[in-house]
Amino acid sequence: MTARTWWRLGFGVFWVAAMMAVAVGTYNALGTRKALRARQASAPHETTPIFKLPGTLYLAHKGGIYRMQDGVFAELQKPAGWTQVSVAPEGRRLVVVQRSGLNYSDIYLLDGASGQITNALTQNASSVVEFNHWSFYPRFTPDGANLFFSGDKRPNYTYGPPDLAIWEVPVGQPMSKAIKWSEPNDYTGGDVSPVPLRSGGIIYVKYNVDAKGQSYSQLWLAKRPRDPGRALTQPEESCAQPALSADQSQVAMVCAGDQRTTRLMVAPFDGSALGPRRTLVEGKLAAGPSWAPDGASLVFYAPGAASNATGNFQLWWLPVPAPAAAAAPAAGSPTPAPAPTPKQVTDNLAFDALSPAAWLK
Amino acid sequence: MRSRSSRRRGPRWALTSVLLLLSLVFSAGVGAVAFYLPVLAATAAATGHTGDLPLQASPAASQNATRPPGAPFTVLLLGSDNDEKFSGAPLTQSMILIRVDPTAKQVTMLSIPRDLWVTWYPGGGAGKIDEIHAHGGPSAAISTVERNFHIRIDDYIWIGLKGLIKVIDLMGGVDLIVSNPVLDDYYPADIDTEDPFGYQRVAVLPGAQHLDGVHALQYVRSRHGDRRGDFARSQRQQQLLLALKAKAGQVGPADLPDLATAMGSELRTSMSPQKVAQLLPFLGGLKPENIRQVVLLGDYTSEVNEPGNYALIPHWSLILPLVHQSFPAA
Repeated sequence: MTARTWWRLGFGVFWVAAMMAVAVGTYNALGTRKALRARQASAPHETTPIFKLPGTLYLAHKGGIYRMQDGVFAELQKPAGWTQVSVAPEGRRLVVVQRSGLNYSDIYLLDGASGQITNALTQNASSVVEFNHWSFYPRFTPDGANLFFSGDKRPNYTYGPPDLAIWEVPVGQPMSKAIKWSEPNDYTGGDVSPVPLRSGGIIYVKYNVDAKGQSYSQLWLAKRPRDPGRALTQPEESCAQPALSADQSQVAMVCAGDQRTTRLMVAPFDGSALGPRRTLVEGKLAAGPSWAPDGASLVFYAPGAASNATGNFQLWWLPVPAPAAAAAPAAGSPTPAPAPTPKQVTDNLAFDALSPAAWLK
Repeated sequence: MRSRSSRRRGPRWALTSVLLLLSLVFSAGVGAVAFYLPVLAATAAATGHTGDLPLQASPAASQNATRPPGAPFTVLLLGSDNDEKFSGAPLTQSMILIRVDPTAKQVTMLSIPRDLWVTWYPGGGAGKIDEIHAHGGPSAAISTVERNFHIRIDDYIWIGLKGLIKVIDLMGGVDLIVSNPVLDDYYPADIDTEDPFGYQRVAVLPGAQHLDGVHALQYVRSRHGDRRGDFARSQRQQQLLLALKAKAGQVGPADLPDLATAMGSELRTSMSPQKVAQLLPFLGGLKPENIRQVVLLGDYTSEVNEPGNYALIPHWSLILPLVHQSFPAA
């Protein structure tokens, strides 16, 4: 073959390779333009928050439990269905729910420093599907001796409503010692989110269905076990997820009257009734408010800024102006007072919006 | 003076250059076709099933062809599993009528209770509306809805449960406000299992949250622990559609192959690819306040509850005026 033939052959091979490279390159380039490629959330202990919050926060993230202190996350429990962390008044014990398998959940005590399990407070698993139980929303009483929680505990399984009721049990005692506090409305989902009061009563959330067939929730006050109690909010407000400030003078809550958006609201609480509401956050999917120890600010969860296309919930912080700073309208009506602007604390994480942060000094 | 051969060489090189350039464009096209091949295959398999439209009950197929662009149209959304626990076509676990008005930029969704007792078409007889799909497929489901509700349906979309899970997961999950604790002691554990009749307990807790495909399906499929039964489920299904619509705005052309692969055989529609292509941007830009949700709660039906025979008797004198507010009478 002549040199010219060799040159042509070489060029031909080169060009075929170039064509293949262009084809593969086009394929790959199109692949990089996928908008839906799920942005994988980072693990908290591999990230740094956008800004530091004072004190110590315990949070649930994708089934794990984390502590945030001085702008540093520490993993206390690896992801394994952990959720709804709450802290004892003395700050050393954590109470946490674990949904590790199908059909049931259990409540555990953890050591707040190491995150190690110290006690399993419930044993809700059964090989018979119907004999399993749920336990959720554990909260210590102000003296740390007892525990409130929501559960579907039924003495003997019957084909009855599976609704959750509010229970109280001394910490470490078997569930047979638990006292039932509430009677849920049948087949509504029941009663959730107990918040113990220093007075001995509780605030909790009661679900119901109105005459038009719409589900709604109300904050409810009960002073003792089996007390029918009374509503603190109106059905049309559909409020839930109450959070009580450390001095028990303010309640934060999430209201979703239209069930398309939420409103994060606060209201003064005198031990028996809520005062005028103030809407602090509107138009976001806000969830899980929790007060700072000094009662001057809140953290809550909501999807991150527009850059976070996955919709995963981030931690947000919000200063709460003193009630006197806002106008005082008629009780029960939201104020038009301008709300402070919330600040996003974390990015690219995926917090459990059903597990409010536990925030200590 | 240039020689005759050099004068020839000029055009030859130009021609060669053009051919080489075209070959590169061709290569890029091959890469693009390979990338979008799943879309083309899935589109061909899933769309254009006009043969599923009823022939005599509705002239929908022919009217589809003559309907001007931008004209309102009605779609019957059918949701069900396609597992093997039932012989033949499965029951429909969800039936939602959707009226799309592109010009007015409005959408109305009306959920049909699965236990609604209706006359079946074709062939007459009576039974629950969710069973007609098992007897006659989409065609019978469309005919039955058309004849009972006195409306015209232009197209249908059928989606399977696994497909729904995959699409939600591919979209990175959906953001929802779970309206109340959804507790169910008898939720079907029939997906990817050897026992399609198995069941499990589920608890979807209330509040705004980010749900993956499995948990979103639990939220919209559960019905045993709610006093409103299938009505509550219908509301939740519409809520999920809105959440998916919100996510649709994030879908780009490059995502279509993954979506097509995820759907596999879990999507089937009589709509043409062109119509689907026109619909997606419309839905992405639709404002929530322009979406009307209707569920036949309360006086529109009455229950018949006998052992082994639960059904909802429709009160057509109330239902039809409500339906015809949004869905023109045929």
